[in-house]
Amino acid sequence: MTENAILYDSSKCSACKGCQVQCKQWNNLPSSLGKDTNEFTGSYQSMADLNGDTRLLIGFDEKAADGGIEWAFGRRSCFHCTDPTCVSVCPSGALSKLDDGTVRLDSSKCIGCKYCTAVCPFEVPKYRASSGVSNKCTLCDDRTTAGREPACVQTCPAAALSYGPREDVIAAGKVRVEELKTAGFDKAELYGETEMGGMHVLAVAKFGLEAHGYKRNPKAPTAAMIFDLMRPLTALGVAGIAAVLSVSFLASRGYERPDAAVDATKEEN
Amino acid sequence: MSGLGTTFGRGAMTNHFADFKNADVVMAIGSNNAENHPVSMAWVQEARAKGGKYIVVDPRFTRSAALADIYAPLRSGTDIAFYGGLMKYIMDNDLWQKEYVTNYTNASFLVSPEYAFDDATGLFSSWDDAAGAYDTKATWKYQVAEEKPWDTAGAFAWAVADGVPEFTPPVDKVALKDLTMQDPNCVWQLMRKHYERYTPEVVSKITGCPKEKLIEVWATFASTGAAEKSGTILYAMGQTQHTYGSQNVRAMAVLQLLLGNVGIAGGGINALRGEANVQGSTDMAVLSHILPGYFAVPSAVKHPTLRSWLEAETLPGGYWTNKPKFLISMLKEFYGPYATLENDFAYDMLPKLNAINHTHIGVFESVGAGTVKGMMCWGQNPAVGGPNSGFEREMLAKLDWLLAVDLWETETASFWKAPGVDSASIQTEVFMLPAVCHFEKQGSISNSGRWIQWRYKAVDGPGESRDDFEILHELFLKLKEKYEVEGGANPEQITQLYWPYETDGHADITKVAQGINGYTVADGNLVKNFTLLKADGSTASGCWIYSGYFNNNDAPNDPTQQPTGARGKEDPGNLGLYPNWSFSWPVNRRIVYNRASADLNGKPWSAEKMLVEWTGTEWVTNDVPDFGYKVVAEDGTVTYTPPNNKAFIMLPELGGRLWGAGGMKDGPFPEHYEPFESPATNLLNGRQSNPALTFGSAESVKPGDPEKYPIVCTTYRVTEHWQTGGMTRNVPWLAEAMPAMFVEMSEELAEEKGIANKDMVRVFNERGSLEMYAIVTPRFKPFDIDGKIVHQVGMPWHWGYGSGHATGAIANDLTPNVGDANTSIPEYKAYLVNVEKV
Amino acid sequence: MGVTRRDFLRLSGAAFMTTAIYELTAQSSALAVEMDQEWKLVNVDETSTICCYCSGGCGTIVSARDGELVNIEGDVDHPINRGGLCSKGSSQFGVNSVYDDKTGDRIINPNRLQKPKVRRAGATDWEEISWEQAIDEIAARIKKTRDENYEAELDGVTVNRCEAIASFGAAALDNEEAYIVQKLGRGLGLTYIEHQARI
Repeated sequence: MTENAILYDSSKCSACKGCQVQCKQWNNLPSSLGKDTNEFTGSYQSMADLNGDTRLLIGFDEKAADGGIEWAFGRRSCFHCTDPTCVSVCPSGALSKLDDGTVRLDSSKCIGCKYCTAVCPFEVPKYRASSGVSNKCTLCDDRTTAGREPACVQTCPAAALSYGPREDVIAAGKVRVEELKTAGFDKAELYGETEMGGMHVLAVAKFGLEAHGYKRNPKAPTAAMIFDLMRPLTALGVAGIAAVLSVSFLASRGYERPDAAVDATKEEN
Repeated sequence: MSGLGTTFGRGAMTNHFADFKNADVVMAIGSNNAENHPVSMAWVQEARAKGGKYIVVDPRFTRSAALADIYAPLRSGTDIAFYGGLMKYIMDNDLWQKEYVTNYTNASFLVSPEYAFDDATGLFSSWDDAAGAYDTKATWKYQVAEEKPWDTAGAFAWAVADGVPEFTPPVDKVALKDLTMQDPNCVWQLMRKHYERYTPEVVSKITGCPKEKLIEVWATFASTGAAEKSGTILYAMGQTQHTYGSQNVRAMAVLQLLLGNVGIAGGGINALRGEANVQGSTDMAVLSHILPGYFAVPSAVKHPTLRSWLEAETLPGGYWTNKPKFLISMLKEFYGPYATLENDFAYDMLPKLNAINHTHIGVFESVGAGTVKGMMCWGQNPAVGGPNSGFEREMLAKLDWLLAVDLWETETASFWKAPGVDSASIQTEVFMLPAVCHFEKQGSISNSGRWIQWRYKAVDGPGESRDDFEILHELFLKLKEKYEVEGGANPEQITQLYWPYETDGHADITKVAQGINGYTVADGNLVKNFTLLKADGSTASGCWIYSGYFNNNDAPNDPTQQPTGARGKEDPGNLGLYPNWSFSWPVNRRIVYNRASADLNGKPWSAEKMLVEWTGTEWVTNDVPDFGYKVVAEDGTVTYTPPNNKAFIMLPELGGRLWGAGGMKDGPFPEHYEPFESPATNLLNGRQSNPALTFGSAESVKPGDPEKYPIVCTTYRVTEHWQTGGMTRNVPWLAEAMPAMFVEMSEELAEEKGIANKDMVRVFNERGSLEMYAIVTPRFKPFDIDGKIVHQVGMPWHWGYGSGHATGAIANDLTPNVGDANTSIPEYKAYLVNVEKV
Repeated sequence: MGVTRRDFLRLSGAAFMTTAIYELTAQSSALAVEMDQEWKLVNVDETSTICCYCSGGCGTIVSARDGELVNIEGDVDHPINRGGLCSKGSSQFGVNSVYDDKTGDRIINPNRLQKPKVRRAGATDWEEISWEQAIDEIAARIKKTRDENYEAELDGVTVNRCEAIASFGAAALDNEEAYIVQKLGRGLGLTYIEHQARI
C-alpha cells in the first residue's frame, strides 16, 4: 500500500505551537496542574524536551546572521523511521510498524521497559510515569484510519504541516527547498528522505539541518551498543536481549551517540 | 477607529481574513499578526505563494518577521514619521494612483486659506492654549461652492413625514474643487507641502531604521500604486496604543487612498482586533461616547433635546443622512411602547454626558475623585489590563462595591489579595459570579472582518455557573422589581426599559438578536435590512448596522436558519468572499467601499479581482455593492445607476479624506510627535508631544525622566497567551507552552547591564518595579536615533498574581495612563523604563 | 446542530493532499488494523462554535458525549481557518476540562468558578452565597448607589444620569450580551460604560 508521511515546512511555520497543544488535546495528554511548576527555558521554547506527556514540541533556535536573524523553528516528534530500532527492540510487541509507514505504539501492550527510549537515535519515546508506559507520536493512526488528517496537521493555521503519500511529500519538499534556495536561503535542505531508511515525517529545514535541531546522518545503534544500553534497564533477562540481538539489520550500522547514556536511576516523565 | 472613520466613513476593518490572499504586498505594521492572529498567516502565505511580498515593520524581530520577505526595525512610536516619509516618497516619485486619487478622494477640494500648520510650534491653526485643545470647526473647513438644502419634497420627504420628530435638516455645504489640483489651497497641494519635511534622512534619524531599509520597504509597498495591484496593511494595537494612535491609523488610511488600495480585493486597512468579539462589543457601543451603530451619546450641552441631537448629528450628505431613522429605531428598541412621538421617543431617558472624560483612564481618575463608587466588570480585568495598573488596583480599594463576573478569579476580583496588600484595611465589598464559556452558551460574535457568526451551546457550564445574559436578565428583573416596589431616582428609566427577552418564562437570547436586527413594531416581523428602518417610530432596531443578520421570519428563534448561521461555501470570483457564510455587516458586504475597485466608468482596475463592474447597462457583482447602484421602484422595476464618483457613501463629501477635518481633534493631517515619554527630541516640529493628548497632567501618571529612565519599553502579546491571562494561564497546556513572565532585550543592552539570558532582572520606572526573567536576544537591536544609541525592551502583559498555573509580574504596572487625543486609548506601546540585574 | 463535513482535507493543500483522500478512504487491508481503543468520536454530538481568543473568527467543532466534553478541533469546512487552530484555539477544551496529571482522567478545570461568592468589607477571604442572595444584594447595592448619586436635571437640561457606577467589559461576551450590558447600563443612567476596545 501507499506509504504516507507528514511534511513539516519550517519556512512556513509561525511557531504558534498549535500542533504542540492540539496533539495533547486529541491524545488526552495532561500538563502540570501545579502552580508555576513549568520550567522557563530562556527562550520561546517550552518545554526543554519531549516528555511522557508531550509527544510533539516546537523548538526555537536563534542566531544573528549576515543581514538579519536566523530564527529557526523545528518540529520535534517521532520521525516514523522505515528502519525503526524501537520496534526491533520492543519485547512486548507494543511497538509495531504499519504498512503505511506508521510506527505504532499500542500502550496497552507496553510494559514500560524503556528499551525504545534507549535505542532511538532521536531519544523520542519517553517514559510516562503516570501510566508506566512509553509515549510517543502515533501519526494519529486512529485519525488517519478514520479519514482525517493527523491532529497536528489539521490544526496548523499556516499550512506548514501537510500529510499525504510519502512520494508526494518528498516531491513537494524538494520543490520547496529549491524555492527557498532561489529566494536566497542557500542552506535549505530536506530532512527525512533517506535518513533511517527513509522517515515518515520529513522536514524542510530553511536554515540547514543543524539550525533546526535535526541530527545529520542519524544512525541506529549496533547490536553491541544496544546490549550496553539496555542492560541497566531490564530485568527481562538474557532471552529478551538475545532476541533483540538477532535483529539483523542493526548489525551493519554504525552508532554515534555517546550522549545517549541512560541513567536507569532517573525516571523520565 | 476614529482615524478610519474620519478618512473613509466607517471605523471597521475594510476587508477580511480570506481576502489577504489577493494582496500583492502585505505590510504588517503595529501588528505581529503571525503571533497574535495566527490564522492570518495561512492567507498571507497564499499571497506569497502567488508572488506576493510580506513586509513586517516592528521594533523587534517577531515570529511574523521570521516569515517576512522584508523586515524593517522601527523605534516604538515613530510610525507617523515612517508613513509621512512614505507618502512623500510616493508623491515625489509619482507613484500614486492618479485616477483614483483625483476622483475618489478630496484631493481636489479647496480648503479655507485660514487653515495652516506651523512647524516651528508644531501646531495646526486654531489651537486654544487655555483650553488645551483645538477649535476643530474654526479654520479646518473647505471653501464652499454652494449650499444645498435637503429636498424635503423629493428624496428627503421622509424627514418631514407624519410621525417623524421635528428637526431642521442640515444644509449640504458643497466644497469648491480644483480638478487640476494646482490651487495652493487644494488638499493635494497642502498635503505635498505638509510632508515636504519628511525626508528619508530625517525619518531614518527619528525611527532608527536605516535609510536603505526604509527605501526598500517604501518602494515595495508603493509598487501597489499601480492600478491593478493591491497592497494591504495589517495593524493592531501597535498603532492605536499611542497618544497619537488615531493619527497613526489615519496616516495608514491616507496612504492607502494615495495608492488606490481602499475598496479593492487584497487591499484596505485591516485592523486585527485584539479579542474575539471586541469588534462586536464596539458595534454594540459598550463605550461611553457612542450608541449602538456608531452615533453620539447625547451630551447635555450639545444635545439637550432630541431635536438638537438630530440637528447636530445628522450629516448633510451621504448615507448618514439617514441617522434619524436609526436613532429613533434604536430608541424604540430601548423603550418599546413607552417611546412615543409625544415623549421624543424617550430620548430624555438616555443619560447625557457632561464634559468629563468618561473613557477607561477617566473612570479610575473619577474613582480617585470620589465620583465613581461602584463598579461592574463583565469579563474584564483592569487590575492587569489597565494602564498604570498598580494605580488602578489602588482605586479599586476605594470603591464601595465591585461586581466581577468571570470564569476565573481574576486579579480584579481578588485585588484585595494582591501581594503586599493589607486585606483587612480594604472596605470594598466584592461580588464574584461564575460565568460560562463560549461553548457553554449560545450567541453571536463578530470577527475582525465584520463576520457575525453564531456560536452554539455544546455542554453545560460547570457547577452553578450561568451565562452572562442570564445574569444580566436576572439582575434587570430584580432591579425592576425593587424600583417598582420601593421607588427611587427616576424609576421609569429602568422600569420602562423594554425587555421582551423571554420565551416560556426563560431568558432567550434569540429574542435579543431579533431586537438588534429590528422589526416592524405593528406586527413584530423582522425587517430584511436597515434600508427599511423608519424615523417615525414604526420600526425598532437595536443596532442598525446589524440589521439583516437575524431577519428570517420563518424561523425567528432558530439561528441555523438565520443569515448569521449560514454555512454556504460558494465563492464567486474565487476571491475568498464567501457571501453565503455567516453575515457580514453592513448588509453582507465583504469588502467595504467596493465602488473604488473600479474606475470612473465602472471597469475594475483588475479583472481578476472584480468586485463590481458596470457593463454599460447594469452592474454585475461578486460582492454586495457599497454604493447607490440601483433604484427599485414600488412596482419592482429595477433601474441601475450608471457609474459616478461617489465611492465613500458614509462621508458627506462622498470621497475619501486625505485632509481630514470633521472627526480628528489633533489635526487634519497626521503629524509626527514623540511619545509622552521619549528619550528623543522631536526632529520634525517644535512640539515634543501631541498637544491634544489626554490625561498628561494627571497626578497618577508620574512621568519618567529620560535621564533616569533612558530605555524605551513596549508591551505585547505572545501566541500562547491572551490578554490578562485569565483564559490562558488557567489552561494547563498554555501555561506549560509559555510558563513565565519575561522581558526581552538586546545583547548589547544586556552586556551594558551585566545581564545574562535567564537572569532575574528588575524593570522599573516611577510607576512601578517588576521582577522577571530576561531573554537576551539578537531579535532586539539598539536604535541609532540621530546619532545616539537608544535601547528598547519589551514585555508581554499576560501575567498576574491571580488564579492559574503560571503567575508573574503585571507589565501594565509600568505603562502610563495617558491617552490618545481622540480616543483616550492609553500609550502602552512606547514609554520609559530602566533595567537592572536582581 | 448537525455539522456536515464535506471534505476531510483542507482546500488549500497541494495536489498530493488530494490524492491522499483516495488512499485513506480505500481502506486497504493493511489499514484495517485492529483498534485497541474505540474511536474517540464514537457517538458524539457535534456543535460548531467560534474560537474565543483572537478576532480571526476561526470555526471550531465541539464534540460532546452525554453532555460531557470529548474533543475540540478546527472546523474543516470553515472558510477562514479550514480546520486550523493555533495553540490557544487548540486549547479551548481546557477552558472547560483538563486532564488530571496524576490519573489522566478528564476533570472540570479546577480553576473554574462554580459558585457565587462575596468578600465582605475588611474580610480576608471569600464566602459562598446563593445566586438568589447574590442577585438581590448586587441589585440593592446598584440601587442604593444610583439613588444617592442620581442627577435628573442640571441647568435646566434633563440629564438623567448616574455617574457613580462604572461598567466594564463585553469583548469577551457575545454580541447580544454586549448589547444588553450597555442597554441595562444606559437604563440605569450610567455614563461610565467602557470595554476592552478602549485599552
